[in-house]
Amino acid sequence: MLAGLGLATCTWLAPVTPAGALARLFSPASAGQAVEAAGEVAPDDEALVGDIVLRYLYPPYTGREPLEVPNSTGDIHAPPGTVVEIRARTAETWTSAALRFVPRSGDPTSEDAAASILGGRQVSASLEVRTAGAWHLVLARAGQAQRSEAHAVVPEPDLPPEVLLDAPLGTLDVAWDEAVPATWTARDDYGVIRVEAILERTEGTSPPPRVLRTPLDPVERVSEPLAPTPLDLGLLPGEAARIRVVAWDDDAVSGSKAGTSRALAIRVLGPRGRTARKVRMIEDLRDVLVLALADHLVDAGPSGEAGSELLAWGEGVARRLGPLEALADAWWEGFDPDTFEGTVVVAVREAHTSLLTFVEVLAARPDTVPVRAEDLSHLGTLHERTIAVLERGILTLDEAIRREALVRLVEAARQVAVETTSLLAIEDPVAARTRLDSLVRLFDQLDRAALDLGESALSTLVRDRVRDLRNRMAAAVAVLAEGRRADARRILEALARDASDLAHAVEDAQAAREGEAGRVAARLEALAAELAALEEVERSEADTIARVRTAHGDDSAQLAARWDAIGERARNLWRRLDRTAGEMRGEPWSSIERSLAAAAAAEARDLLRALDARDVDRAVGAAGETEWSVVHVRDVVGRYAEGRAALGRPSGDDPAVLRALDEAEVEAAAVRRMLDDTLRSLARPPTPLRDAAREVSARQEAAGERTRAAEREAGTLAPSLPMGAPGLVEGLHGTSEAIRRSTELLGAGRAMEGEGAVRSAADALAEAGRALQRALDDLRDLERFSTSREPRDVTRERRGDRSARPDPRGRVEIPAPEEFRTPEDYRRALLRGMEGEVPDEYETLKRRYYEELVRQ
Amino acid sequence: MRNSSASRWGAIPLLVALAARPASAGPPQDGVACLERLDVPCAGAAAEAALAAAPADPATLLFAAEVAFHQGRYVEAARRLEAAVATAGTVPPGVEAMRTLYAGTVEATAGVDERRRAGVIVRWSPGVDGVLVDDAFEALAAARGPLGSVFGELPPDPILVEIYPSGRRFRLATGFGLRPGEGGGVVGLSRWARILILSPRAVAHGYAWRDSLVHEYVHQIVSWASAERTPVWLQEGIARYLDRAWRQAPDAALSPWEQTLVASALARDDLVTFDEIRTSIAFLPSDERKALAYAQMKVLVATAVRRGGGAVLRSTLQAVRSGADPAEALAAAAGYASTDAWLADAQQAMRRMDLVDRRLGAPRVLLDGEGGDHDADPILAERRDLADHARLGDLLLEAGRPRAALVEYDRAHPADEPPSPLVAVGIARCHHGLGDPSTALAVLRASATDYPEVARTWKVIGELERAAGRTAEALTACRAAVEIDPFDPDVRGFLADLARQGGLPELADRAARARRILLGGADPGSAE
Repeated sequence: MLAGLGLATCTWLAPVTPAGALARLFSPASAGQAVEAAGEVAPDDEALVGDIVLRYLYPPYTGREPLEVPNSTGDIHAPPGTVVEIRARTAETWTSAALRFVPRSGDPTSEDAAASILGGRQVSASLEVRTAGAWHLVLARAGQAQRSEAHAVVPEPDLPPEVLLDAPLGTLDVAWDEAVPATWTARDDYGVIRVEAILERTEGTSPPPRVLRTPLDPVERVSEPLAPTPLDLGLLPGEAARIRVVAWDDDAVSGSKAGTSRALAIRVLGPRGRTARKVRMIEDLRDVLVLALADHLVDAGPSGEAGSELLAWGEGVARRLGPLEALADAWWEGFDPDTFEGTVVVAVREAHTSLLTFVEVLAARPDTVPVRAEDLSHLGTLHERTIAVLERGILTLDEAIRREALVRLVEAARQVAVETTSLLAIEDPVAARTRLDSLVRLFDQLDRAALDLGESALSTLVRDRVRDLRNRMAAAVAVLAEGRRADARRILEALARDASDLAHAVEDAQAAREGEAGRVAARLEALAAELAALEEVERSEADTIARVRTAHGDDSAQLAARWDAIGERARNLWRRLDRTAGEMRGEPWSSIERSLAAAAAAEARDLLRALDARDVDRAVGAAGETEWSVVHVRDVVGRYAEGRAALGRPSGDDPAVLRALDEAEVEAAAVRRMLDDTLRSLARPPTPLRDAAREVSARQEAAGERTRAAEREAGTLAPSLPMGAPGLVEGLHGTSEAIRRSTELLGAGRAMEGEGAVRSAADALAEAGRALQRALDDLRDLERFSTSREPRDVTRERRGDRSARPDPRGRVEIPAPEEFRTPEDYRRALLRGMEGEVPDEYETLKRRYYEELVRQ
Repeated sequence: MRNSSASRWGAIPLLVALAARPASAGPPQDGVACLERLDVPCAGAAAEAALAAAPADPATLLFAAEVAFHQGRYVEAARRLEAAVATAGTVPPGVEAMRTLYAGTVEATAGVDERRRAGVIVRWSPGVDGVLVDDAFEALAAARGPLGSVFGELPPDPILVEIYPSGRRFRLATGFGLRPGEGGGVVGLSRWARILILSPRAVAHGYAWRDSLVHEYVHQIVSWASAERTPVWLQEGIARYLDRAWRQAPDAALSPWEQTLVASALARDDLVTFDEIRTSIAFLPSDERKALAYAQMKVLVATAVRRGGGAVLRSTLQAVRSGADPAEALAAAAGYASTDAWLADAQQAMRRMDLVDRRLGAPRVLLDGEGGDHDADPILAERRDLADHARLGDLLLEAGRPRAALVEYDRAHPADEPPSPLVAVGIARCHHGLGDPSTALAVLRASATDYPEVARTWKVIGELERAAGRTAEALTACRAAVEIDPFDPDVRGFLADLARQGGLPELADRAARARRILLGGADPGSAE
């Protein structure tokens, strides 16, 4: 509510009772009579008054409970319309009393009201806060009157609602069927009763305000997405508007006041506009990655091996991602990880994170300890991998840009061919010139699309042809201007033929590329099927060995039990390290300590995988690495903890972490010893089991051949897939390796290990299959991006026929409670339904709806 | 790059069929003979006389249609063909193919401009192809002197040259069909007593189109001189031997790519045998093998001419026309004791050649923008991994990061081969961007040696030489660039400036005129 809206009135209330105060307002006339009875007020003498108690009775609309303030200073702070009951005790005895209010606004007229006096010293009065000023008592006895000390009356203004619009700055380009990336929030000190969207179209008539919310009861804060889509705001593709959100409060005293948000400029994109926006985004993304790649390529590595030098280099590497993060902020949607560009961004970030984490680990060692050669080599490998990921990411984005450009090119070339041909039928020179102008715009589109195609024969051809067409168009215009229509016609006929040639060439190029893409797609499908079939074969073979092993359970069974025990112990170790690393996420631990803890957990995870794969050799190696990592992290954390203690810095849970690491150290050493023992005690399996293992080994050779063929095929196809299908070739390579190992082990009759290797092969195949599937999903997304130009019936959507389209991003829309009051049983059903889990983004909506329903 | 020669008259069986009809007077036999020896003026006169005598005779109409087609009067040819069918009351087998060809040619040549000069008619599509016309006249005029000396007599004028602006129209007019790729990279054709040639702007990165033009003209001469009896191997050998006669004395020099093929075949003792060359070139198992065969044909002819002197080809064709075995005729005319002696001498000649023994990529001919990214590049087209690095190099260079681009271009460079011509240009641009034009030039010069038919290489050489103040070298490079890609207005501009500086005002004027046409300063459609 706003300040200063109240009139300068002060009304006596006597006697005052909390319940009937407002109803018992004294009239100004009766108050005047009381003061008159008091006679003249002595100007200098001030009656002593104390023990002031104020009781605030707030206006009902505020919903605030009465508030009593004992031992008050007497100053009143309350919203207008608040009735304040005043009780006070005088030092002397008086026979009558009145309360006088003097407005601050300079109005010399004061207002008096009667006060009751009990026992000559207990005074009661009340006033209603309307405007700023001061009150005091006028006390009278036997022709003498004195005033009491003055106390301020400060109306606390009931401010209008504060309305915030949370949306990116600048003009928003939003496709007609996309969620508008804006959320409004209306807050009021006492309550919001209505929220509307005011929309001003840049061109044309603006629609009436659209009601966003009318809460059943006033609410102090309400927040919601602005609109599911621009269509829901009444905006069609191609339209632009400024939108403000206006909220009204429930001020029943001064009248409802409105608060307005900032204006949000929005442009509604059609299918083409949306694609164009995404193209810009993809181009921007490609370009920032190109710059990052450039820096990496000319980077000679750290200037030295000292921790400070390594860290300085790492900071430089980290800075290369700055533009990428800025871009993610600039594009309000960010980069959705479920899109091909999201896959690129995730891969780039992960590669940098791996590199930087390792740099931190290296930098954590004392400078007196030289960097191991293998660590330097690993650093180089990680750097190379980061470069490779950047390269693949850039090529993926570039491919998308060029595919989209080709689609644009085909459209523009077809249009040019049609327009030039139809031009020949136009007799009116003015109309012909207009058409020529539109052709020039089409030429511009062709040029742009050809440039976006990058280095290709088609790009060169189109640019050359467009240059020629432009020149001849200009010649036709000049000839037309001279009135040489026959000459102009001759030029235009030739031009139409050449435009047709160009359209044919571009269409042929697209058809050729589509044909090639179709062939690749068929091969990818076949590869996916082959991977699934191979996985089934491997799982079946593993089960076969397991059955035979169970049937001949002697030493093997004991070995398996022992192996399982080691596995259990290793699992505990991994869980302990993983939990410890998780607990070290915040202060006081440094990033180095955290990195080392995470690295130790990762080593333990590798150990676990090796054990699961029954890979004795790898498990032994991994156990050693894990033990070393645990010792290392224990050492570093111990030293840092001492440092923190010496500097008097907070130690957090240092002791607990150190305890956990001590225990992990013991556990890691135990696992390693157990593995060493197992290795020594590996017994020869019984003959039937050995024979069965050898049979499987023979079949594994065939599976290995199929896997190698699939690996070759994957290697050929991977470059056609976004990001080169990370994990596909690696997964198949792992499969080949596992099958090779299984063949050897089973051939040697080592059934238990062989079975583990076969299962490992199956797992690797599954992983490769998932990688292929992810890449195929990204490829489909990329194809959708480059071809999504189908015009849609937006008019139908505007009419409210929501069946015409799916909700944007599958958004669940929960109706506002004021939209309908539901029958009790339906409400209950809804409540039950809403108690379930929902995605985070719907949590607020769910809560709101739940609360509103409860209130009904 | 392939040129193709064929001039056999496809309508003779039809004429025979139509003439067999009772109502038909039959085609004028003298006219048919004229067409068979590609004497079009003679056939034209015969057709006119026959039409005057029997204007409604189907065989006469069909003959007149064929003559009109040879004369380049396609609308008339199509009309007469329809009239022949209508009067015959039936559609004989083969006429549908003729209809398709005639209709395609009518469509492909609609609205063309035409210019005549010194017995040569050049037709071209209005527009920038106008810049080719003077150059075409110049090449043919320059070639006719030396070729006249070689063959003694040339076919009667006019020489009809048609320049097609796109692969599609070229395929329509040649009957190769409409599907891209039909025609297998053929850019020129000597057929129906005409020369059909593709504008270099329809070919990715252009091509040495004037060599091809003269090549086709040589085919026409050989066909005419031997009454269409010269086999393909000899046709190709002679045409390849003589197609640069317009600019230099004929020799046995092979292109770098052909040299690598010959060098490799010699090392493996795996040359194409003469029996294969003579009987089954089309059935050779690979494009590489065919290219090797064509290179060998050139050496075979060059070896014979070197030994026998200038009159060898004339007397060989006369003998062939008279029914002699072409190989024996050529060996005898050159003075060899036997065909084997000639073949042995040719093989020795190849062994004596200073051949390029580096591995080079095969030249690729892509028409109308066909093929994917970098598909026109002889190396990158076959190596997607290298093409990816080249693309990254391009993007880095565009982003103003030449040092980083150089890293990618180096990765796009096969370990044991020279870089692809496009990568070489990229590498050179990086060095230039890094302030090292000498290295840039060295890279480009090496690339131009290996891949001389890449206009872009010559263009950048020209730019760098010009920037270094070496006018003569710049001029040479720009001329080489224009020869392959005559449609680059920048190069034409450089050329005009350089020619003026070099005291070559006529060349300067021509380059400036061409540049004006390319930039639309003149209406090329009304250039005449």
